[in-house]
Amino acid sequence: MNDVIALFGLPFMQRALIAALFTGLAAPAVGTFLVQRRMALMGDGLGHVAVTGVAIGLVTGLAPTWTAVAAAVLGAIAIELIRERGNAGGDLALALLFYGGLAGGVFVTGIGAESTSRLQQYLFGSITSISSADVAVTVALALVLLALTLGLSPQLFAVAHDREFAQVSGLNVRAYNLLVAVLAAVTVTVAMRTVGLLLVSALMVVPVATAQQLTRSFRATLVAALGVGVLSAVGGLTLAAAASYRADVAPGAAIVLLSLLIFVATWPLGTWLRRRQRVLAPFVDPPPDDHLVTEGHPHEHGPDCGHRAVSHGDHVDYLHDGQRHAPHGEHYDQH
Amino acid sequence: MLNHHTPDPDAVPVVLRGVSACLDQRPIIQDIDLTVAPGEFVALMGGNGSGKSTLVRTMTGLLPLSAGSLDLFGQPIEEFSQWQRIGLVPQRHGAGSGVPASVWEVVASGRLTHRRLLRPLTRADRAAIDEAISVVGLSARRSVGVATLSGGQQQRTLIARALASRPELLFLDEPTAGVDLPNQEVLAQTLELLSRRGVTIVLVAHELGSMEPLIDRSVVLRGGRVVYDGPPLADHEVHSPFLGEAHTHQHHPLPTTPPHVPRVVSPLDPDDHPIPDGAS
Repeated sequence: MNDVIALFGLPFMQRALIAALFTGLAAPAVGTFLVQRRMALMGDGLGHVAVTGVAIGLVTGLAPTWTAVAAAVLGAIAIELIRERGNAGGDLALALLFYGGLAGGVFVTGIGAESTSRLQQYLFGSITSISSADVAVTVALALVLLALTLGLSPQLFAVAHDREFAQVSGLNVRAYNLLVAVLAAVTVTVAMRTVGLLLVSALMVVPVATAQQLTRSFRATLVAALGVGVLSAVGGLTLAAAASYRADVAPGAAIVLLSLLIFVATWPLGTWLRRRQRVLAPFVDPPPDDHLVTEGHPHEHGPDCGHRAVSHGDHVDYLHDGQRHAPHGEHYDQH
Repeated sequence: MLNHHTPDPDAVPVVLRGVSACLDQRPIIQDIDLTVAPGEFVALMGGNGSGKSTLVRTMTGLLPLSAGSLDLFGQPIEEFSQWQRIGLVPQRHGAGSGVPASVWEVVASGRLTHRRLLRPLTRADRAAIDEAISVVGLSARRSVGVATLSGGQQQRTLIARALASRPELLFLDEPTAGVDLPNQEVLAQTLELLSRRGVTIVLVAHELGSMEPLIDRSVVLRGGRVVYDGPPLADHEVHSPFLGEAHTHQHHPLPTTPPHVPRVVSPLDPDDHPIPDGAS
C-alpha cells in the first residue's frame, strides 16, 4: 500500500491521475447521449477513424492529438450525414468507418515506415508516458465537453428522445445531432491517451450501462455515470500501479475491466430495485386533476380590479375573459 | 435561438391551399384545401394509408410540401417561428430511448420552446410542467421511468409533454391507438378541458370512440384526398365506402325513372315475369 502512495508521489503518476480523472468525467458525459440515441458503438467507430488520424500525424510529424481530432470530427460528421439521409442505417455507417479507419491507419503507418509500436501507444493508451502539455490539452478539452453536455442537456435530451417533437419545438435538430457527433469525436481523442482508441468506447458506454440499472431518470443516470466513470478511471489506474511491482498491467485495460466489474457487481442490485419498484407502484392511477392554473396574470384580482366578482362556495371567483378565476396561493385557478 | 415574432392572437391557426406532399417521391396527399378556425376541434379521419398522418406531419412542418402553401397562425411554414403556439402528440413509437427518463423529464422537454439556452427552469416553467402532468392524471408517477409505464400512461405522458408549452394549436396523431378504455376516457376529459379553454385541436384518429361528442367537424381522407369535410360523422359513417362519392350530396329522383316493377329473374327462364300484386 505504501508503495502505491509512494508511486503517486512521482510526477508522471500525478499527471496520469489528473488525465484519468478528467477522462473519467468527460467520456460518460458524452456517452450518455450516445446511449440515449442507441448509438453506443459510435465511440468505437470514431476511435477507429482516429487511428488513421494518428497515423497521419506520426508520418507527417504533426501532433497526432490534433490530426486524430480532425479525422474523428470528419468521421463523425460523415456518420451523421449518412444517418440523416437514410441511405444506410446508423450501424451500417459505423461499420463502414470502423474498417476504413483501422485499415487506413495501418496502411499509412506502413507507407510512412513508422514502427507500429508507436501506433500501439494510441491504440491501447499510454497514460503513464503522458506529458504535461498533453495533460493540459486533456483537461481543457474535458472541461469544454462537460460544459457543453451539461449546459445543453435539456436540448440534447429532447433531440435524442424524440427528434420530430424537438423539431416541432423549433429546435435545430440537425445542428444538435452534429454537435453530439463532434463532441463524441473530441471525447475519443481525449480518452485516446488514457485507455487507447480501441477501448475508448468502453469508458463512454459501460458507466452509462451501469448507472441506468440503478436509476429511473435521465439526470440521475448522467450523474451516476460520471461517478462510475471517475471511479473506474482513477481506480483502474491505481490498481495497475499497485500491481506494477509484480506484473506488467496495462492501465487502459485495468480501467476498462474495472468498469465492467462494477457493471457486473451492480447487476443484482438493479434487478432487486426494479422488482421493488414494480411492487411499490400504485395499482390504479388517481383520477386526473382538473385544477387548472391560469397563465401569468397581469394584476391581482380584488374588489377594485374591475372584474365581476361571483361568490362560489367558500370563495369568490372573478370573471375574466369568460373564465372564472379563483385566488389560490400565488396563482389563480381556472374553473 | 428562438425568433419571436409578435404573435397575432386572432390569426387563423391552419390554412392549407392545394397542398401535396410526397414520401420517397410517391405522392401521399394531393391537392388538399383545409382551414382550421381558432378554437375548432377537427377530427381528421380515414383508413390506414389514407394519408392522415402524412397530412399532420406536413401541417407541423416535419414533411416538406411538394405543392401548395401552408400558413400557421398567418405565417408561411417556411418562415414560421412561433413554435411555442404549437403542440404535437406524435404516434407512440415502440423503440424508446436507450437511457431511462422520468415522466417529469419527458414532460419538461415540452417546455423548451419557452426556455432560453443555458438558463435554468423558471417558476413559471415548473408550474406549467406540473400542471400538464396533473391534467393527464400522472402526478403520482412523475418520477417514475417512462419505459415502465403502460401504453396508455405513456400516451398520456406524451400529451402532457405537448401541453407543457401551453399550445394554442394541438395536433394529436392517433392518440387512442392501442390505448385501453379507461385511458381513452382520461384522454377525452383532457381534450374536453383544452377545447373549453379555447385550444384549437386537430385529432387524427381511425375511430373516435369516447371523443365523438367533443368534435366540431370531421374531415375524411381517402387515397390522399379530402372526401368529406363537414359536420361531425359517427365512426361507422366515416368508414362507409360510399362516403364522398354518393352520400355528401342530396339524392333526387331522376325525372325519367320508370315505375319500379319487381320481377322474378331466373337464368332458366328466358322471359321474366312480373310478380302479381299481392304475391310475396
